[in-house]
This record gives sequence, structure tokens and C-alpha cells, in this order.
Amino acid sequence: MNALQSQVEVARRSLEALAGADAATLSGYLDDASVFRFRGDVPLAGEHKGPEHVGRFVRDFAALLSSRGARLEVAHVVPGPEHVYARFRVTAPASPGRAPVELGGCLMTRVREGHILESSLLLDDAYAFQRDLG
Amino acid sequence: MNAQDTSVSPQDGGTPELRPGGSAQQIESWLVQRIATLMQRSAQEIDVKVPLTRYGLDSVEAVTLSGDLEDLLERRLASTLVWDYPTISQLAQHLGQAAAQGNPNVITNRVRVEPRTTSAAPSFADDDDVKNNSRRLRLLDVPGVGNPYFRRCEGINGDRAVIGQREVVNFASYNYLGLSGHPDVSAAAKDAIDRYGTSVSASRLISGERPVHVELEAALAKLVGAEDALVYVGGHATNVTTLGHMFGPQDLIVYDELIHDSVLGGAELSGATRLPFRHQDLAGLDALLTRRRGDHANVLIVVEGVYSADGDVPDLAALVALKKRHRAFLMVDEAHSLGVLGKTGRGVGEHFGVDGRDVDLWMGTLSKSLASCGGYIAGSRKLVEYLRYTSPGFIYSVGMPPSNAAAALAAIQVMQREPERVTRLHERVKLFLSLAREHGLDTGTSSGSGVVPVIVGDTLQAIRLSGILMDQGINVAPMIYPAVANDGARLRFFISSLHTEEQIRHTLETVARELGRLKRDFSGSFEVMTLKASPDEHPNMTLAREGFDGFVTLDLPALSRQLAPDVVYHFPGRSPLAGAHKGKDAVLDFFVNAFRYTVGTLNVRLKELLADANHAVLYWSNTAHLPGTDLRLSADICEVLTLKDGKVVEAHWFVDNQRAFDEFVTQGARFIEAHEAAIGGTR
Repeated sequence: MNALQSQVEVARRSLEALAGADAATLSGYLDDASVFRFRGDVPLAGEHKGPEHVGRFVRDFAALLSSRGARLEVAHVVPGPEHVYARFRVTAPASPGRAPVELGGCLMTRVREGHILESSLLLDDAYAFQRDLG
Repeated sequence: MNAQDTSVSPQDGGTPELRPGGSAQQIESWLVQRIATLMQRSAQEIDVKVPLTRYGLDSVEAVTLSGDLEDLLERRLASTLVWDYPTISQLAQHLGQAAAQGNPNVITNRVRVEPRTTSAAPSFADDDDVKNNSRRLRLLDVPGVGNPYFRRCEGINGDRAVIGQREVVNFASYNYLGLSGHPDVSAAAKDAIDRYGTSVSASRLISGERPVHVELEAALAKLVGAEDALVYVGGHATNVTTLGHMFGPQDLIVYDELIHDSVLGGAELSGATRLPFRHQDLAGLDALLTRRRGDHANVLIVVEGVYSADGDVPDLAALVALKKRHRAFLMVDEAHSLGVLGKTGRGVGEHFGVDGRDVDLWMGTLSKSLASCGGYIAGSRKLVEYLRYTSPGFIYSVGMPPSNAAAALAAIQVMQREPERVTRLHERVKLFLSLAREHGLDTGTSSGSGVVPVIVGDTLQAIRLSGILMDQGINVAPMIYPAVANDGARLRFFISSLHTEEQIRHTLETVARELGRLKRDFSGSFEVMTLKASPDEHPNMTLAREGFDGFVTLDLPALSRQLAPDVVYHFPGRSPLAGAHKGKDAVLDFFVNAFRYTVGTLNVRLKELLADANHAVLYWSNTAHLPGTDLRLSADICEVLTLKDGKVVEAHWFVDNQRAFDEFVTQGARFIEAHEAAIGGTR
């Protein structure tokens, strides 16, 4: 596996870990000084620093998805020399009194030598995220 | 080369011929031979892994090389190509790879023409350039300032002007010696009208010649130390028609990179090889001529007596020595130096003590110090005779109106009779420069001419400062991109002998105070930091980089070229920018509105650029401060472009701080739209 393929793998597995509350897998990729940014006026927003806080964020984020029966799927990954871009979709079927969830986002991850230094989670509809998952 | 190779073939045993679709190997062979020829070495000496700069390739030759590749490959190439791919091997790989992918993203077929598909009659209103111009004009109405151009000025344009029924101190006039409005000059023009009418009603070749033309030309020739002169009805047209007529494809025209547009137009018309040299870099010019002189029948060097954006002066004596050494012609455009430089205002020749006959083509305008309109060429008797009978812009044009010729002639006479005007201008310029520097203002390289820039840097700050000064009774025009570099926006002060010391002191105190205030209030001025290209970047990355540069400088023609006709941009959130913008026009409007609604206060930093075969991803940070409010923004944006056939077909934007972004943009939109409604009501 070359360096770029390895980066793609790290990004993909990070997102899968995020979706599956797999903090242990994600922790294996985290640098001690890792930062995970999820900014804005949305649930779980903040700057989560270090494996412990990032791990907590991962569990909380996954819990948020699962409480609504939502699935996160990786749609597209583009690697670069330092960053990896991964686009994802979050969907959930309609439930009594609630419309289906359909939103997207991307994770920009800075990876060096197989370790995640920082990640930023960006959404295509922060309002829908709060309304449907908040 | 195998038998299948049709893209490259030997050309007289020298440089192989390169054709569109050439492979990396073919391009490499061509480059090796081309560099060897250019640097006068054998092909065996050229190492494809060594940076081209090590062979002594200078910036001019690098640009020429890119241009030659464009022509041969019939593709548009990035102007930074040779810097982005510094070795022959890297450059050839890049070009060959892009061609093999059949992806002309970076490399766009130059000759591709998209035919009109609608059956409706063509209208200029549908033209992309016309539409893009309208979009840009909307940006000129800066809040609280209004459009700084086409201000209507009543009365004489001197040290003072009447604008909007208010008298202001004026630094936006070419009236260097105060001769426009001088009673003798005005009287001469009126007398000429009484004697000859308002038009000569014919080309001078036919029946348009009047004695006043001949007298003016003799006076001009004497003034600059030439044998004869010829006057034209327009200054810009003088350069275009003279260069276009005198030089041809076998010739080389080299010019200072800051030369006036009219020289560029004339040089292009001529069909000559055109090469710029770095501003005022005579050593670079010398090296260029050493290498290229032998390839051309005639070589012309073109400089200005005073550069009109910076107010600096070329070393004419050194240029004369250089042109003699290289057997070249020398042309000097004296638009801003005649009447300004030299003890008696005879221009840059007098300033340096150069014999007028050592300059082959003296060009100047009559619209500045000489208080009239038109241009002239002065030189040898034979040259002027040739132009008089053959120059298209002269023989196919009506002759100069008698009033203009008489005004210019009278202005020369007053200038010579009242040399104290030139002396006073020199004193005022000296005072302006020294006070500006005392106030800590950046006057660039201005060196004693009538043009002194105060460099502000940011475009919108320059426009804003011009507006604030106008409110305080001082008229000075901003000069912005693309006339100057994007970070080189400035106010350009034209000094006149009419200006009083008090006007200059008051103006500079006001400029320093207001500029300081602006820089404090608008700390988030528009700034851009972009990532540099890497040697092996994906062509889609180059496309995205060029698009980003186009976006932050609002280069609408460049952006237009990148967009597919049915492109869709998805922008998230609930601000006035949000939604799916469908079609090229809607997307270009979106770009303009993104610029307007952030009121040009964004700091933008491109942090990452990624690409694969069909996508490019850009990731950047924004910080901004809405003027007059406490509202500040900090948000990152990720933009994902989907690309097809070298065009953007779709884009998705993601914003990491959506509510804050929406709040900022919504407030910005209200601010700008309220302003536009207010100024709309006064028109």
C-alpha cells in the first residue's frame, strides 16, 4: 500500500469508526495531539483535543446517529500529500412524526505517517443536522 | 521515434516539429532541442532532470517558451508553467500526461469555439464580456462612497475642480503646468476656430492641412531636439498606428513591463515578436538583447519618460548607450514627461542631457502639459516624411482640429515664456514627496515627476479612501487591479504647478489621517494567500488553483472559461448566497454576490488543494469584519468541484460555521443593498 492509499484508508476507517462508535479503532490512528473540529451552533460542536476527548466525541456522535436510526456512508475520498478529503452521506428513514434524514458533509483530515493530526467535520446543511439529529 | 509518431518530425535536422497531441517523450525531445538552441549548447549537454534556470533561462525566455508550446500544442497553458514544472522531464511529463488523459482542464484547446445554439438574433447584451463588465460595475459602488469613476467635473480641471456643485482640491488632472485654462491658450484656440472653423473637414493629405499644424509640428520638433514631427488626433492612436505600421513579423519589440496599453496594442498590431523586460531592469534588457538581437531584422526598445502608475523615470542616457551597442531603435513615450521633466520642461531628454537625435522615435501627447488633445511622433526628417505619407492613423484620419493645434502651440509658447511654471512644478513635487514620506505614506518608486502614487494595497480600501477624501474636499482617483497588481491598489496624485503649498500640506495631512483610520477600522481587509503549485500536481489541481485565484480577484472572464454552460453550484445554509445556482450566468452572479455581501473584507487563506481524475477539492479559511459593526466571521469552507472535459460541471460547498457565516452574509447583504437603494435614489 503506498502512502496515498494508506491515507485514504485512514480517512475511510475514521469515518466508519465515527459512524459505528468505534472509538478504539479511531484511537489507534490518533496522534497524542490530535484535534477534531466540529464548529458552529450544532449539537456536539467544539474543538475536541487529544485521544480521550476525540474518543468521547466519536461515541456521542455515533449515539446521535443511532438514536435516529441514521446511517453514515462514505461516498468519495480524495487523498492529497497532507490532507484527505472524505465525503459522506447521512440518511435515516422517516419515522412516526419525523421526516426522513438526508444530509451530507465532508471530513478534512490531516494525516502524517499514518496518524491523524487534525480533522474538521463540515456539513452541507447544519440546520437540518440540528433539526433532525439534535 | 516509431513510424506511428505523427506528432513530431525533424525540422531541417534541427528542432523537431511538435504537433498537438504530442506525447511526453516527444515534448521532451522538442524541449531539449529548443533549450539547446536557445542557450547555444549542444543537445547532449542538456540534462532533462536539471532545472531550466540552471541553463540561464530568464523569465522572458520562459514566458516565450510557454507561448511557443501553446502555439504548437494548440492548448492554453498556465503562465507559470516553467516555474511550476522546473525541469524538462517534469514539464514534458505534465504536458504529455494531461494530453494522454484527454483532459484539457489545465490545458484548454485554444482554438475551440462554441457555436451559438439559440436561434434568436445575436445581442451584445448576451456577450460574456459585456455581462461580466456589468457584474464588476456593481462592485464599484462601495458603501458610503459610490462609484469613483466618471465624476462630472464643471469648470477648468486645474488645482481645483467643481464636482457636484462643490469646489474641491484637485489631484486628478493632467494639467501639470496649469496651461489648460490659461487665457493665452484659450484665446489661441478661439482665434483658430474663428479663422478655420471647428474642423478641418478632411484628411491633411487631401485638404485638411492648415498653417497651424505645420507651426505646431516645427515647435514640437524643436522642443524635443528632433528634425521634424507629426501630430495625430489621439495619443493612444499615435502609438497604435505608428508601431503597427513601422514594424512587422521579422522584427522584435521589447518594452518595459509597465508600458502603456497603447504600446502593447501597436506592438500586437505589428505582428512583431514582443518581449517585456522587468520594470527598469536595464541589465536584464541588455542580456535579452545580447541573446535575441541576432534573430530579428529590426529591434525596437520602448520605454516611457515617466511611468504613469508609479511616477518613476528611466535612465535615458543608459538606454541610449544600450540601443547603440545592440543596433536597436529606441522609442520614448513622453506623455507624462514633456513639460514636467527638464529644467525648462523639454522632457526626459533635457532631464538627462541626451541629444534629441539619439532617440529614434519621440512620442508624446498634447493632452497633458500642452493643454490640448492628440499625440505626436518626432524624429528624423526621413521618418516623419514616411509617416506623413503612409501612416494609416494619419492619412486615413481627419486632421487635428485647428483649435487643438493652436492650443498646443500656444501652450508651448507660454511654457517657454514662463519657465517659472516648470520650476514651481518641480518645487511642488519635491514638497509633496517629502511631506508624504514624513507622514509615512508609501509613494513607491516615484522620483520627482508629476505623478506620485500613495500605495494603499487593498483595492476596496483605495476606493474607500478616494471617497472619504472627496467628502473632505479632495479629488484623487484610485488606481486598482487590473491596471496595477491586485495588492498594489493606490491613489494616484497628479501634481500641478498651480497647487499651493497649503493645498499640498492639507491634503497629505488628511490622507495620512484617513488612511490610518481606514486601516484601523478595516483591519480585515481583503487579502489572499494561496498555495504554490507543486511540480507533479494533477491537472485538475491546476484548474482548481486558477479558479480560486479567479474567484478571489473576481476575474470573471477567467471564471467564465472554466464553467460548463449547465454548471450547478450548491451553496448551503440560509443566507442570500444559499441555494442551487444553475447555469453559467447564475454562478457568475453568485461569485459577484459572494464578493459584495462580504463587503470585500475577507481574509482568505487556501489551506489545501486535492484532486483526482474527476474532482478537485479546495479547503480554505475565511476571517472578516463587517465595517461599522462588531460582527466578525471565522469560518472554513470546503469546495468540491466535479469536472468534465476541462470544465466545472458541479460544485458543492461545505461551511464549518454555518450559522455565523449566514449571519455575516445576511447582514452584509442588507448593508450593501440598503446602500445601493440609497444611491439608486439619487441618480
